[in-house]
Amino acid sequence: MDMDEVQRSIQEDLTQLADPLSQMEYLLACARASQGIPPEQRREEDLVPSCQARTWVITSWDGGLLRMQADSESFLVKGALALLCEVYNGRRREDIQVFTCRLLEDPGFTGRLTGEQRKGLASILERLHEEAAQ
Amino acid sequence: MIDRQQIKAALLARKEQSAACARQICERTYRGQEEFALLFRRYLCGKFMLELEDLDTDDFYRICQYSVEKASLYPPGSIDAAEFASKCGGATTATNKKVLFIMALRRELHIPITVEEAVSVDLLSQLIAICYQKLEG
Amino acid sequence: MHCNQGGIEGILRGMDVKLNVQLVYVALIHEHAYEGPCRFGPPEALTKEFDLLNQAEIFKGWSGAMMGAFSQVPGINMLPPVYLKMSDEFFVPAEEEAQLLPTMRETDLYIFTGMRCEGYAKEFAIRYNKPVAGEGMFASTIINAITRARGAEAYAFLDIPDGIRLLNALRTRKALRNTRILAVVRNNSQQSLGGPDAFLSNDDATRRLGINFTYLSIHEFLDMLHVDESGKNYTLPGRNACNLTSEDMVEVERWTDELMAGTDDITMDRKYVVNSVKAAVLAKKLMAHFGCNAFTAPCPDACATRRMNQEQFTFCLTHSLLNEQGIPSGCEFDLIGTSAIASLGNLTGKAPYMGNTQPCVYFDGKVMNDFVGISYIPEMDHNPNIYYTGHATPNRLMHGFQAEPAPYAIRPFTHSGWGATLRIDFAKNAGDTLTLMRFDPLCNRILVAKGTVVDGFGYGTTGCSEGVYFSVEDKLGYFHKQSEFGLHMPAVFVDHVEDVKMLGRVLGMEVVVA
Repeated sequence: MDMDEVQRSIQEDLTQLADPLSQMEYLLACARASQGIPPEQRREEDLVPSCQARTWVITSWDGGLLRMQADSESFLVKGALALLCEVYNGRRREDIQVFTCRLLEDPGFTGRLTGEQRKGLASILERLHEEAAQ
Repeated sequence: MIDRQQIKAALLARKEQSAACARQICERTYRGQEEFALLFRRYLCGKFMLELEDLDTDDFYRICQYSVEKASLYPPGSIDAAEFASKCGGATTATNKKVLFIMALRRELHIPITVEEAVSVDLLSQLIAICYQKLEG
Repeated sequence: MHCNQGGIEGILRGMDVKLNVQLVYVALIHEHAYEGPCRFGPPEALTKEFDLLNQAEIFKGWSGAMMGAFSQVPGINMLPPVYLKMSDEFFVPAEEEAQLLPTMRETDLYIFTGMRCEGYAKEFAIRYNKPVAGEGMFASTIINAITRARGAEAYAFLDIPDGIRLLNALRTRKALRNTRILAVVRNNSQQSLGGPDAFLSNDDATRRLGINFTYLSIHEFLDMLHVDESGKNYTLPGRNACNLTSEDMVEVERWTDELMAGTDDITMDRKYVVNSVKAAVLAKKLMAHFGCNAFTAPCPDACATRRMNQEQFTFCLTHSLLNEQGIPSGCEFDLIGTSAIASLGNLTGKAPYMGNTQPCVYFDGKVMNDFVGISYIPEMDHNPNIYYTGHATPNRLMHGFQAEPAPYAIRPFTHSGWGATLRIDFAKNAGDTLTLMRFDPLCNRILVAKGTVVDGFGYGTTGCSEGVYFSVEDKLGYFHKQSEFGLHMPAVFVDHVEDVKMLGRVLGMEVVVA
């Protein structure tokens, strides 16, 4: 599936779940299923500055494809990052550049997140797109 | 890769179970208070993301607390923003769970529990008895 | 003239006074769902329905916790909590406030909490002239600041222990306002030979503390010791008086038996113990008659009449026994000391022991300011900060009215063998903390001190020789501070300095810590 298709699939999942509690549980379950970043590999320089809870994002480009790992002390944020990884991991620069992420506008995705957490995720997306444009 | 389909399927199954219990309660297809109590517990589990075996206490606040603890095995930040919203007023997270559940009973099961009745409930069995009484008269 | 029999019946003690406390929860119910500064959350948590349920739950939890904690405190009467609804127009309607009116007369303190309750609590305090306290984050700090600034009475407390400290202090103040001292006087109702460091005016004590006084001639008192001689007293010829009766003597004998049976260490004749117990029973009878609940009598002033020698008793045992029964009783006609006994006893739930309190002055193995019973003790070799307090009026309940009574001896005050006194071996309390307090002669300030018991004195002797040595932090500093207050300082065990500071706060008095 391309990025749009994965995004749509996630949005459909949230729509099907419908109620806020189930949507939250979906994010938490994704967090539980995510590999995250092992504690010994979390570095200060990988911390996302604008996040209230400690959040790490590690990116690298391998043969022109994005490799992304993410983790957070906030499980809701970790779950949101796990879904963003589903969308962005293994994608080419040019795919990322033309892609518009609408997940942060979806109340099912962000309804349980605070304003600060949403801002933190937005800054992560901005960074991914900046890296893709380099 | 996360198996989102499996996650979604499990959550939808639980939702359906909860909805089915709600339907049976609304349609009065249970026979007697015992069956009602079982449906009610399943409905509660659906709402609280618990399993039936998690209801090993009759203390309703404890059940609400356990539901929160299960969700927050998880450090701060994972807790429902609704619960944060009311924290300024001194509510506990478990209290908010109870309040939201009472509102769900009114809205989804059409059980007109009063504020006084809701506050008087300390035990799950009390709540079940009140709801049964409201429905059956 | 109606005279009651002896016994606590007929005496409303300060410790029987209850502080009536009203919890008030102001529930903020938003009429509509909206977000904005200070309001945020998902839609279902912003509805009026949510507020109505949620606020009721918070009230239940809060009032349950407050009632559970404060209703366990002796002397505190928690009234049924009240729940007032206030909309997001931020005023409490009259019909809600009406819930507070039926109990307003008897309520001594209102404790408010709830979002945005502060303005209402302040207005309530000013409008109804009632003390208020805020509980919880924000409310406590804000209510205290804005209400006190407007000259009304308000308090803040941090947590349950701090709240208990406040309630105890307020109850003590109420007890003081219900205290009437039966002051047996010889020549001067303002001060005595034994207590010249008195209030400048007893009216100051009435004005600042609420304590009242009833004065009775020592000669009338002494005449009333004569059993079944009402109408024959020289000082009250032909008048019915509160003389001890044969029925009262049954209580005297019973009490004497009880005292003597409680110890193996008695070095005086029973008949002299009876004489002293008669004075205690008569004191109680007179307090019940005059509506008093505290007592003081002069020492050297009475001694110089020679009638104490004639009647063969001293008041020492009376003071010990009355203090044990929660009836403040001070020797030497020290009204400041007796007022301090009433304060400390009510505040701590313990029977205070009042004595001459002074620094020990010593060097090179010798004590310089010899007083009966004071001598050089080994502790003085390495500790320059030793104080003492002593009188022949100790009691067995300095650790608490409900505590196990301390072992005691009974010894005579006089060389002749009369004047029963209790003796406590304070050496056994080495390591215990003492708290002492006194008011100043202007009744403006409180002195509070604490020390650690190092030894006792006088247990095996006669005379005004009983007491306790205690170590303080700064003997010189204590001495100079004390010199602005006076000699006698009632004491109880355990550190109650913070409690006394809170008492000072509610009395509006500066507290000097020695």
